[in-house]
Amino acid sequence: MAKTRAKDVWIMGIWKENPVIIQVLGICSALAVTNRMDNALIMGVGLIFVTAFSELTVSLLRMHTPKHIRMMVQVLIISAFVIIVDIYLKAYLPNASKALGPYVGLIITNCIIMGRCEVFAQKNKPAISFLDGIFNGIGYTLVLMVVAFARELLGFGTFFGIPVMGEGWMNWVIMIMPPGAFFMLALVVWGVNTLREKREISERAGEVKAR
Amino acid sequence: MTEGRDKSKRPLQETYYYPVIFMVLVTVVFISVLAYLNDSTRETIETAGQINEKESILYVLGIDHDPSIKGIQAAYEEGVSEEPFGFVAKESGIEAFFFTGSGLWGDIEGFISISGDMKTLEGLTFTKQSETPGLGGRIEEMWYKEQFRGVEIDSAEGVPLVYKPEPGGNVDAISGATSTSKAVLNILNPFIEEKLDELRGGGSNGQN
Repeated sequence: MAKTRAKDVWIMGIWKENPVIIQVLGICSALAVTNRMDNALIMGVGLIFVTAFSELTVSLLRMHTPKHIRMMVQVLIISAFVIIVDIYLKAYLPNASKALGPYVGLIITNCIIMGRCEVFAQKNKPAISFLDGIFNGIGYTLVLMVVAFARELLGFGTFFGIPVMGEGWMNWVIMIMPPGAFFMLALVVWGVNTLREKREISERAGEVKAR
Repeated sequence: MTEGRDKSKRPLQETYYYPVIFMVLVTVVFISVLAYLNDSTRETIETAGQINEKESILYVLGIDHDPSIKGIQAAYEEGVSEEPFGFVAKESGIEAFFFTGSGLWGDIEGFISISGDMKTLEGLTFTKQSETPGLGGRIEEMWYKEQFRGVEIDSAEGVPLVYKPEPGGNVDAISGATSTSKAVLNILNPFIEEKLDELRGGGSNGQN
C-alpha cells in the first residue's frame, strides 16, 4: 500500500474501486441529489474538495495522531472542511446553496470521505492521499452525473436545465421521485459491472493467448 | 512497579494526557480557521441576503429592474415604500406582505402581493425554504410562482387558492411533491384571508 503510485490512484478511484459502484459508499446522497444535473455537479465538486483536503490533513497528522482517537480526529477534520464548503457556497454561490439546502451539511456523513481517510490517508503520504481524495471524488461525481443525466432527461426533459426533448415530451414523473433514483442507480451499477466482467474475461483470455 | 519508574521516560506520544492535548490542539486550530472564515464572510452573506430580499420584493410587486446589484438597489429605492404592514409599490399601489409557515421539512418564508383594490394576487416568491431539492424545492421555479399572478381572490365562497383539478382550482400543484404543495396553500390561504379581512375592515370603516 505504501508504494501506491499516482497512476494507480486514479484508475482505482475512478474505475477499479469506484466508491459508488464497487464499494457501494455514498449511496444516500447519490440517490438524493441526482434528479438535477446542476445539483449533482455541485454536490460532486463539494465532495471532491472535502475528500481531498480531509485526506491531506489526516495524512499530515497521521504520525502524531494517537491510534485510538483517530476516528474522532477524522470526524473533526471532515466536519471543518464541510463547514468551509457551506460558508463558501452561502457567501459566493447563494443560489446553489439554496438549491442544495440540507445536503451540503450531509456531506459530513458521506462514508466515502471517512472510508478513504481511514483506509488510505492513515497509511500513505500527504501528496498521494490528496490525489486519492480527488480521484475518489471524481469517481463519485461521474456516477452522480450519469444517474442525474438520465433522471433529468427523462423526468424533466432537460439537460442542465435546458429543454432538449421538444414540445411533445411527456415527463416521466417517477424519474424525479425517489423510486427513480433507485432504478437508475441500480441500472448504472448493473451495467458497469457487466461491462467490467466482460472486460476482465477478455483480458484473461488475452493473457492466456499471449502465453 | 517498573512501570511506574518508566512513566517518566515515556515519550510524549504514549502518555495518558497526550490524546487530550492533541485533540484540544487540533480542535482549537480548526475552530480558529472556521471562526475567521465565518467572520470574514459575514458581511458578504448579509449583503447577499438583503439584496435577495429586495429583489424578491421587487419581483412580487411586479417592478422591472436591472438584474445587477446596483439596479436592484436603485429600483427598490425608487419604486418601493416601506410601510409598517408591508411594502407598497409607489406607482401601482400593489401591496406586498412577508409570510412564514411550516413546510414539509422546515419553515417556508416569502413575500406575497395583493393588488391595491384587494381583488387579485399580484405575485408570490419564496425567500427561505428547505424542501427536497428537485421536488418540493421546485416551488422556487418560475412556472410555479408565475401562476399565482392575477389569481382572483375576492370570491365570497371557499378559500382563495385551490389546486387543479379540484372544483374551483386556479393553480397547479407540483407533481411528486404533494406535501410541499399542500403546505404552501396551507400557509397562504389563511394568510390571504387574514390580510383581506384586515384590509377590508380598515377600508369599510370609512365607507359604510
